[in-house]
Parts: sequence; structure tokens; C-alpha cells
Amino acid sequence: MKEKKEKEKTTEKTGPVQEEPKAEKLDRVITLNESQSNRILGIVFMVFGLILLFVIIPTQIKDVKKAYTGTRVFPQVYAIIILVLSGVLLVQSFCQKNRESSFVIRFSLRGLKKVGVTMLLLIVSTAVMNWIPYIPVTMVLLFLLMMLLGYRNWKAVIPVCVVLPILVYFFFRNGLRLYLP
Amino acid sequence: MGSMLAMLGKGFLTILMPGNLIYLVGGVALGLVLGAIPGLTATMAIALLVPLTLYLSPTQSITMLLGAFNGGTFGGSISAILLATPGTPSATATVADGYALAKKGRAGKAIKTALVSSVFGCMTACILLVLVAEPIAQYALKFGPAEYSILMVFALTIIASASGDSMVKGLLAGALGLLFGAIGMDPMETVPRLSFGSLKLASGIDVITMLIGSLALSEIFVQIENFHKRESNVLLPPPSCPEDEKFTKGDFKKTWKTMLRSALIGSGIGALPGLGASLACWVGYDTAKRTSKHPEEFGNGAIEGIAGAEAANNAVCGSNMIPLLTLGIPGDVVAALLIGAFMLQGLTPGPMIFREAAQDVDNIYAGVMLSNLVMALITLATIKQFTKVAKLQPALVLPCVCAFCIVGVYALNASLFDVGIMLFFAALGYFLQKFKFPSACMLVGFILSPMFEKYTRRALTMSKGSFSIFFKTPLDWIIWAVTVLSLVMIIRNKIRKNRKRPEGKKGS
Repeated sequence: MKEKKEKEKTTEKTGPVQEEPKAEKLDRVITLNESQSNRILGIVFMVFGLILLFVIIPTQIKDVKKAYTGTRVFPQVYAIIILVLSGVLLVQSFCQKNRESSFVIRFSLRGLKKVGVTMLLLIVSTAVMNWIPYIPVTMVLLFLLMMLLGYRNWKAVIPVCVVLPILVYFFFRNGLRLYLP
Repeated sequence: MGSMLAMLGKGFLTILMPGNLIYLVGGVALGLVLGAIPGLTATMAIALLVPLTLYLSPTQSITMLLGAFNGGTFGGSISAILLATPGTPSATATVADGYALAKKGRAGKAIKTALVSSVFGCMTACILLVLVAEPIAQYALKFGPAEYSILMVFALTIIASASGDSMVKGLLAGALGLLFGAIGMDPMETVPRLSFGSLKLASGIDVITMLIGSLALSEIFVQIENFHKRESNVLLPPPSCPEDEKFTKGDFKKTWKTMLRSALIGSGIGALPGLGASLACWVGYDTAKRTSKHPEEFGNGAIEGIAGAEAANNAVCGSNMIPLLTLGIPGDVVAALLIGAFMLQGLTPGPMIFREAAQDVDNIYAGVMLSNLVMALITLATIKQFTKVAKLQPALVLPCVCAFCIVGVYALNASLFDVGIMLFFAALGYFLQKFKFPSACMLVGFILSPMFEKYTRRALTMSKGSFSIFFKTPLDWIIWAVTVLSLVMIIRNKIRKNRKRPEGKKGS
């Protein structure tokens, strides 16, 4: 009986865990097998290596010719290594075509959306810290992230969102003599 | 030997001073808590602590970080035992026997076995560290730029090929790290490279910013994507007798050989670049099983299984300092973070550190050894609270860790631009992890890049552009031979591994 009560108590606090079976059905999952993922990566890195070698390095590094090894040599070597390895990855992806993959990469659209929104929230909060002070920005950031992750235990949400930024601010200000924005 | 012991004794006295001890205790406690929460690792604990070390002395900062590493590595086994969910990757081998014991009502015995084994493993590795580090460093003083360049090649190839299933991806990640390491001012000429006109990028990417982004924050993204899949756990039965809660003399007699063997294995693995605690725990567990009189008990609650895995993974905490302190080469991601922490303190790990900051090195030795004692005391005092810690909701913890990442990076240079760089590396690290890229290779490549370029270009300047300088002395040939030999062995192992897999499941 006590166990049952405890279980009920935990399920109340963990909304997303209980919603999961329903949500799983609604969620779309993109799967890539090993050869597909290697092909995508091979192409991405090859394009990146080519841009690096022929566009970025010539425009972003001034060549100093008097030295035994110029300023561009090492970045160029790294770009060539990236190109060669991406070529190997591409070849491997075609060789693996008829074999079963040793792994499958899954992108859940629901998960990706959460990661995307988290990233966006972090970028926006960093940007607005140029104008709005640290404490209110972090309070809002923490609250929104907890809501995004489905945490609805208000007894924990409110104290954490309010107290944590204030504690951090005063710890840095008084303990480390560092003024947060 | 006498002077070494005297220096070490002085180190113990320094660490025991309240001003230093408090940071060690704090580091161990934070490591234990973060290690015990599934998904938050010992590495993350260190990444979050590094920015704060800017305001501490070298002794305080490095001992705090090593305490966090030691505590975090052990903390992972607590959730492995109580929840069957390893808190850190290095505790995966502890799950089978630890959770099996817990289900029999012997969770206390399992945790105490893990604790004794972890302390035993780390202490053994520390003794080895004290004995071998200085002689190796003395020898490394003979190295010139050419030898260092070859050594960097050795470290890069080993790390890239030893990490993960795919050697190509490991090397690719390493090359990417080398490229990011080249951003900033040229090491020989005063020319900014790949800075895109930004003054802040012209001074290079801060190692801590990059590490927090690609290690801590990217890991949080992965957790955010998957955290709703976490399973609820069954309630464990209470102990049936007082013996079920204790680690007895009989248990020690039964396990000490396993602990010693695994501690030596873990020390060896930790001392080699690129392997790390995750591999050590499995090798330790496997060896314990093969040498046990009752291998059939493994997986059903054998304390030898827990001892084998835990002694090996915590031994890495001490021994990964060997390549770091003696040669300045980071053996794994944690060592890469520690290099960042050393640099923040104005110290460069490598053979010269034994001359420039000898007492700091001895303080660090003493700190790592004492961290075991602190870890044991904290664990024994709070053993019952760890069930609650391990069950903390990720939806509450992850946003807080995100906020700490932002404030930690900002604290380094009081710059929001650095926070932006961290977010870039977090996104990159997330996608690399999704595509099964070993991000450790990228980080180690990033750390080694400036050193590799500096030593190679210096060697080429000395030889007026001739590559013969890399094949001049017998020492050069020895390092080349070791590099080639280890590469051949790694390739041979990969081929064997692929052959062992059933047809149709071969990887790259």
C-alpha cells in the first residue's frame, strides 16, 4: 500500500514519463543506418574541406613566404586530411551498402524540437544579457526550460528559478569579485 | 627517495590546511552528486568547476578538480547499484553485479564494496604515479622540438584510432580539433588566422569555452532529447540482516587479489593516451571474471565483479596524470580539461613542471590520495541520501546545469562572445555525438594542435626546412617505432574485432 502511494507520488511529479506512450505514437522518428549516415557525413566534410582549402584559408590567412613553413601550411594540411578522410568515409558508405549496419542513428522529431528550442532559448538569453541584467534573464530561462521539459512541480520550480540566479549572482559578485551582466 | 617523501609529507600538510581542504571536500562532494545523477558525468563536474579555479591557487584548483573526477567516477556506481542506471559510462560494468546484489537487499554491501575497491584502485595508481612520474619527466627533458613533434603524432594517432568503433571518424574528429586549435594568432609570425576579422577570435578559442560547450552542454542536449525515455525503477528490498549492509573482512579477503589486479590494469590503461575509465572498467571486470573460481556468479551479484570494475575505473583517476604531468599529453578528456586548468594557473604541464612548480606537483599527489579518504567519509556519512540524489528529476537538474555552463564561461573573460562560442561548440558536439563521432578525439586534437604546430615548425626552422631532423637521433627512431607498432596493433585488433562480429554486422 505504502509502495503504491509512493509510486503514485512519483508519477505525479514526472509528467513526461507518463505521457510518453501517447506521445511516442505521435512522434516521428527519422532513422539513418550506418552507410547513410557515413554518406551524409562524407559529403558534408568534403564540401567543408573544399571550402576551407580554396576559400577560407586563402582569404583568412595572410601568407608569409619567408618562413620555412608558412602560416597557411598547417591549416592546409588539416584541410587536406579532412578531405582525404571524408573521401574514405564516402567510399566506406558505398562498400557498406549491402551489409547490415552496426548501428542506427535515430532523430526523434520531438526530441530534435526540444533541443532546437533549448538552443534558441540559450542564444536569445545570451543575446539579451547585453541589455537586461543576469538575474531576470536567468530566472526566465530556467522557468522556460523546465516548462519545455515538462516539469510541473511548482513547489520546486519557483524556488529554484528565483533562488538559484540570485545565489549565483551574489556568489560571483562577493565571493569571486566578478560582476555578472 | 627521502626528499621525495619529505616533499610529499609537506604536500599532505598543505592540503590538510582548512583553506585547501575545503576545496578538496567541495570537489569530491560535487563529483559524487553529479556522478550519481544518471546523465551527468564526472567530466561535466570538472567542466563546470574549471572556470571557478581562475580564482584559486594551483594546489586548490587542481586538487579540487581531481577530487571531483575521483568522486564522480565513484558516484556513477551508486546509481548503477541503486537504479541499474550507470551514472557515468565508466560504471556500466558495475550494473550487472551491483544491481543484482541490491535486488537481494544488499545494496549497502554493494556500495561499500564499490567504495573500498575505488579507494584501493585510486591509491594504487597514485603510488605508481609518485614512483614513475618524475623519472619519466627527467628523461623527457632530453626531448627537443623534433622529439616532441613525433610524440604529438604518436598521441594523435593513438587517440584517434583507439576511440570509438570507427577509426576514420576518430581521425576526422581529431583533424577537426587540430583545425579549431589553429584559429588565432600564428605561433611564429604575428598573423591572425581564421579569425574572420574578429579581434576576439584572433586571440584564439579558449580551451575551457570549447570544452564546456562540446562536453557539458552538448551532453545536456543529448539528455534533453532522450530524458523522457528514462525508466522508472522498482523499489529495492530492505536488508535481511546487518551483514547485508557491511563490507566484512571476509569480503576483503575474497576480493583483494581482484582489486589489486584490476588496479594495475586500470593504471596501465590510464597511463596510455586515448583509452580511459570506460574501457578500464570492462577490462577489469572481464579479467576478474576470467580469474575467478566462481565465474558463474558474475552477473548474479558477485562482489568480485564490482571490485574488478570499480578498482580499474578509479585507478584511471590517478594514472591519467602520468602522461599529462610528464609529457604534457592529455590521455583523455578529463586530462584535456586539467590541461586547461593548469594553463589558467599559468602552469604548463610537461617535464619542466617538476622544476618550475615541484611543490605544487607534490601537493597534487597528496590531494589525489586524500580525495580517497574524503570520498570514503562523505559516502559513509550520506549513503542513504544518495538514493534521493540519484532519483533527482533531470527536468529540474538539466536547466540548472545549462545556467551554470553560461555563467561559468562568462566568468573566464567576462565576455558574452565566449558564451556564443560555447553555444556553437555545444551544437557541433551534439551533432558529432549523434553521428557517433568520438568528441574526445576532437578535444585532444584541439589541445595538441598549438603544441604540435609550434614544435614542428621550430624543428623545421632549426633544420632549415629539412625533414631529416625527425629521423636524426636514436630516440626519434624509437618514438617512430613505438608509433608504428601501436598503430599496427590497433589496426590488427580492429580487424580481429570485425571478424568476430557476425557477418552482416561489420562496422567501419
